[in-house]
Parts: sequence; structure tokens; C-alpha cells
Amino acid sequence: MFILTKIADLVQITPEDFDKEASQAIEDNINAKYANRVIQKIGLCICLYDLLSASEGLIGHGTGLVNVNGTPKPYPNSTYDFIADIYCLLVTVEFRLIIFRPFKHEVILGKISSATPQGIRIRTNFFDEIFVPAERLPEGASFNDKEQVFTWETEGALLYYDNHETVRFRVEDEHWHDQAPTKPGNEEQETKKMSPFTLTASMEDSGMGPCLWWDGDDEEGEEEMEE
Amino acid sequence: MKILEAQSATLTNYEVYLHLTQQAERYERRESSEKSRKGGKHGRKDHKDPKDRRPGNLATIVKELLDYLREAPSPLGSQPLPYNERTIKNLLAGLRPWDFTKGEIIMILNLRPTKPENLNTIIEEMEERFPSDTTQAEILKAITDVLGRPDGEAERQAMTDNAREARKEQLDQQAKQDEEMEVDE
Repeated sequence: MFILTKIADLVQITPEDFDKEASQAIEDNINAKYANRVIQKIGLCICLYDLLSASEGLIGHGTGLVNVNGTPKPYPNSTYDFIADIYCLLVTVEFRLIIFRPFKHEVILGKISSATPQGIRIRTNFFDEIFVPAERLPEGASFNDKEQVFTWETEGALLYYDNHETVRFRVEDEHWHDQAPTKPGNEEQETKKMSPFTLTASMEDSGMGPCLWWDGDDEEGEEEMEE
Repeated sequence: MKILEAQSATLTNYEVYLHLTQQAERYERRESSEKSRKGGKHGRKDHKDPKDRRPGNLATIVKELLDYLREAPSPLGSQPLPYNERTIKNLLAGLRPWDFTKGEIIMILNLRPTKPENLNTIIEEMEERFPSDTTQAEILKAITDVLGRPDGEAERQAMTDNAREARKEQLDQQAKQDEEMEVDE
């Protein structure tokens, strides 16, 4: 479900961060830039895992104050308010990020958020864009118009894919939608905003679907489903 | 930004969980130590510098992810925690007699299958690779030896409660919205 991705980036440390430890200032900077964001073809960034290397600091905006060993010194408050608008420190860092990117055919847990005749939408607490198309549900599954949920008829019993139920599913496919800004004037394109990263999943194999169906020690789990 | 290596390693849920909880502790320590340091300087004891807090987007994803990882039936939600620093090594040793892919091992670690039905979803073509019931039972035993067994009853209860609560919340929200609409009219 999670991978590490190695990235190099230029980090800008502004003077108000000069009183932090250098490593802490860099970490905060990287997290502020990447946490909870999607990188195309990489995945959803969670946070920094580790710093691999950092260059010596360079001063932005083309003026003075070279930082030699990469540990910015704290400035007395008075001076530092004055410098604040002029300088910032540029550091090239190599680091690894924790990324959410389930591999193909990975089985993970989520919750049903809603259903339409096309299929079931699933979310996790931190990621909402998972879709199980109707044809990837087990044989005997059908959409119930009245209740707006899917049901599964098996061995004479009718089981419900209720909203908010915890389900197990298999990741089948990932889709990327680059949201890079387009030329102005292309308004009709903007109305169709797609999430940058979505997953298609399946629940057709036995053992998939609501965990309550399968995880009971005996048959008792089945009565709870209906309601 | 330059991607140097799209995938340099794979992490299990436990490793991510460990990293997040340690990170949260570190931020907490830092907030309190900075508070006393700066508070001393300015004579304000409860002064909290927003700069010492972790970035908001980080706080959001970390909270959501920890909630997810701790939610039943995730093994990270059971007490006492079934993992420790030797778990991964022990499990690899326990599963050595059989030929599993790396992805399968990761899923076993993350999901802790303790029944043939659950193992079947994780292991590809299990019926062909491990046709005998005794083999399957041996695999499951190797898993429970390291990861323990879930408290099935408590887990089911937690799942039912979670779903019920979420449904109630949704209904409440809907009722509130309806009320507001009526007022508007």
C-alpha cells in the first residue's frame, strides 16, 4: 500500500525559520510542500521519510550572506526582522517520501461511501477515489433502485452492500489526471475536473466485499448485515 | 522537483504507523520545548508560536491515516499491538517453507489472514499452489504464531458500530440541512 520514492528538490528556507534546526526547517518545508498532495504517476504523498543529503546553503535573491555548513545561525530578533524580506536560503536536498500507491492486485480495506447503477464508490479515511464498477461485483449482484444500494443474491440469501460498511477489495487499475493549468479560454474543459489520482477495484472473488460476511467465527455474523 | 527513483522500497502498514507515531511524538516534544524556551524569553508562558506547529496539510493526512490504520479490522487496531521490531523477520522465517511473492508477504503482514477464506483473497491461485487443507492450515498457523489471532467478536462489533455511527451522522446532517432549507423558505 505504501512505497518510498526518492526525490531531489530545491528547498527555500526563509529567515523566520532560521532559528529552527536546519534539518527541522528542511523537513517542515518538504512536508508543507508535499504532504497530502498527489504527484502524477507516483501517488499520494504522505510525508517525509528521511533526508538523504543536503547541499550547502545558497542565498536567494542574489545577495550576500553565504551559509557554509548548512546550519543557519539564529539572528537576534531586531536584525532578523530587517533581513526578513531580502534573503532566503536555498538548499538542494535529496530525500525519500512515504507515498500511498497500492500495487496492482493488492487487497486493502475501505468503506462504501455510495452506490449508483454503475457501481460502488469506496473511500478510506485519507483517500476517497476508489470505484468498483458493477461488472466487477460477484455474480448475482444487482442494484436496488429503492434503497440505492447493491445487493448480492447467493444461496437463497440476499446480502446488502450497505453504505459505510467496511469492505475488502482488490486494486485493479490506477488512473492519472494531470491537473496542470490549461490555456485561458478553454472554459468547457475546466468544468470537467477529475481527481488527479483514482483507483478502480474489484470485489468479485470470494472473500471480497463487506468483511462482516466473511470474518465471522461461525454463521452468526450474517444476521447483523441486514438493517 | 526531480524524481530520482519512483519506487526505492515498499513499506508495510506497521512501518508507516511507526513512522507517523514517532513523528507525532517528536512534534509534541518540540512544541513543548519551544514553548518554554520562547515563553521564557518573552515572559509569556502559554505562548505558542504557530511556526513550531507542523504544517496543516501534514496534520490532516497524518490524522486521517492513523485513524484508518487503527480502525477494525486492521491488526494495528487490536490491543496489545501484535507487531514489534522483530515481527517482520519472524514472519519471513515462519513462511520460509513456502514460496510467496513479496506482495503476498506484505498483504499477510498488513491484513493478518487467520482463516482459509481470507488467505484465499491474498494468495493468488491458492487452490493450485497449495491445494491441500493441511498446507493451508500450516500456513495459517505460521501466521498466527507471529501475529496472534484477532478478537473476532470485538472486531465485528467495532465494524458494526462504526457503520452505524457513520449512518447516524449522515442522517443528522441531512436532517439539519432539511431544517435549514425550511427556514430559508
